[in-house]
Amino acid sequence: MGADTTSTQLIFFIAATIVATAAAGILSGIVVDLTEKMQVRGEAFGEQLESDVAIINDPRAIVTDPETLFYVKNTGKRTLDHASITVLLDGEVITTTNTLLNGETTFRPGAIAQLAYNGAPAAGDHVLRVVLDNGISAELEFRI
Amino acid sequence: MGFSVTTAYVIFTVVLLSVGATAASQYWGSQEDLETARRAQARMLEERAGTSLEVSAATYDAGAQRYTVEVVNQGSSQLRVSDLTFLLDGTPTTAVESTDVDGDAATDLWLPGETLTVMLNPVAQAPQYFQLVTRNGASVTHQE
Repeated sequence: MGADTTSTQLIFFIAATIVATAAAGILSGIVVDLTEKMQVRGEAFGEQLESDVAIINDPRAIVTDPETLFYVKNTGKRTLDHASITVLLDGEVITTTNTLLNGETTFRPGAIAQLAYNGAPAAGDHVLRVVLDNGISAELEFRI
Repeated sequence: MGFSVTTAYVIFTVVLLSVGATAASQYWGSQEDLETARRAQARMLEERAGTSLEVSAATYDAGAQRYTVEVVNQGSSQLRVSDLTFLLDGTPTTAVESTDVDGDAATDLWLPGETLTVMLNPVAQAPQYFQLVTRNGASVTHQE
């Protein structure tokens, strides 16, 4: 009888330990995963805060021949990717050839990217918007 | 039975304490990074808001193909001459013959109240539009 009771208690103990350990392991895994994702989100948000660009074209003197040229300056504190700039002209995405001016090799703070559009906006008012891959954007209203 | 439950509680407590400490550490770490980014953004905005420029003179010498512009730093931000971008008729130019700040050609600092003199050469014809853009994206324009 005594041995049966001891065995039963031992089985309960082992089972409880296994269940508790498994449950605690799953819970810790979920929490660690959540904190890692929170850290990634925080880093992404921090990168957005430190990034900024400005379209520096003179809105009265946009070059349209042979290509329409737009100039974007990195006015933030982070190096950005000029090749992934999305350009919208009057709300529509246009394809541009993006290069860096002044011999720059990276779109570092202070560098200028030239966005060459193989087309010419019609005479009148237009809105240009550039969006970078981290979500920051800049806008310019101009007249042709 | 009681020992099993106690063991389970102990396991849960140890694991939750460990996970909680890890999560808290990562949370405060990401908050610190975010705070650093917010301060950087605030400095960028403050610098831009404190930038105010005025073109006080602009002359074109057709014989020497030289365009000379004087710009006064009327704001409270300290600027750097090497970070400036010049546009003539909407196109960035690197044809900078010389720059000086209140007569000092060696300095790169352009402090509040000082006048920057820029000589652009060669400039084939008198430009209609001149634009100066600073590192933080603030700009001043001049039209002939």
